[in-house]
Amino acid sequence: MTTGAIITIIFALAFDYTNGFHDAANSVATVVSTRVLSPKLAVLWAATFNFIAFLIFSETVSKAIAKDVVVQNVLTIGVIVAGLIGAIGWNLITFWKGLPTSSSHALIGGIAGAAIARSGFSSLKSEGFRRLGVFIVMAPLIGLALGLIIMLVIQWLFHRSKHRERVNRGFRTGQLISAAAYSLGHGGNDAQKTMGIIAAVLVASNKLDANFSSVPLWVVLSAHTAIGLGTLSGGWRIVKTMGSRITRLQPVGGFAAETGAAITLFYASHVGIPVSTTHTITGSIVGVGTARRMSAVRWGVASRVVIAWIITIPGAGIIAAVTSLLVKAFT
Amino acid sequence: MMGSLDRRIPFFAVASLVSFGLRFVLLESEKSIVKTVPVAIGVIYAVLAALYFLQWFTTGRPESFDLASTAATDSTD
Repeated sequence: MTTGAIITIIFALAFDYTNGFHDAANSVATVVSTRVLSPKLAVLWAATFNFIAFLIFSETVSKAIAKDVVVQNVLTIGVIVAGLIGAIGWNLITFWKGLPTSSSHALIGGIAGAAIARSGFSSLKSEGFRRLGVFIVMAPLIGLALGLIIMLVIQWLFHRSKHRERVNRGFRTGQLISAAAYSLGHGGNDAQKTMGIIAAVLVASNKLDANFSSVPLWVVLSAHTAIGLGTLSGGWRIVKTMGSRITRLQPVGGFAAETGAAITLFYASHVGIPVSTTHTITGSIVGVGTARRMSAVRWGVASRVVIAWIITIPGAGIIAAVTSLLVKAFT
Repeated sequence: MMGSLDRRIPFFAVASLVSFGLRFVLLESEKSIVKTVPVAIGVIYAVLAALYFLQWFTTGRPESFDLASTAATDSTD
């Protein structure tokens, strides 16, 4: 393998680490804000389930990233590394600003931006981008609908209960399970994006067949380890936005939000759609808030998050495009 | 007198329209499990909009389930 390929794989794993670091908030915000787990235990819990996700999900998302976004012959090592720099740069900017934007969209925006800078818009695969575009919008809508419905069902089941404190205490335990399920979904969908990038590097280096059916085990293990370590490092600026500023959550609400988001991620990972775990859990939290009343959601914060979502693909794409042109100029 | 419209009703109606609309962005060659989801979510939002509308129309005020906030009052943690 060339030095360039090795450096690109290191960049990919660094991105995976920042992804876990950036998205740790999504996995643990509700369990921390509802005080079910201490912050340290919460990130350990989430990181464990991030790591073991590879035992549950097949590699459909990684194949989609490697094959469905950019035309294969454009996906060179230079394009991939520029795309990764764009994604990591964007993640760091939004982390610094405390915005829960999507690492996944930063990655796709970065790769697309780098490819466009090299070979124009024809380098993008229309079908893959359509699917991706649809689920950029659908992921939070699915999460919102499921979070809302689960919350309504719980309220319907327990609204006559005279022991609401006991009910809520029961959901504290339930939240451990829902947080684990969400972390599984997060590890399954997000680590696979890095697996897809490394697979693309291996294909570009002629170390893997372009029509590969499975990714080498070392790729699977290293991607899941990197995201797990990233989650362990945590991201407390964003925890505050996710856990309390969008809507105030109790254990019952945290359970509903995480379960709704986990179901959405399980579905996406099953059918091979790289969705934003951040969008999904944000949609679910908003769904839980709207089950109470519309004003329970702080729409000002939610709309700031939406604006950040909209600018993520072009933002990461521009950083990657500039990097791609610089890489081209110096190589 | 009828109270102000529950804001969830237009929100769910728009979400329903968006979901149905997104179905037509997907290509026919997509797997049925991918094509079905926007339609299913569109139906869910349409039903939610209808139910909340009926609730608002019959009582004249927005429905407000609040197990979470009640529990917050009861909770000792």
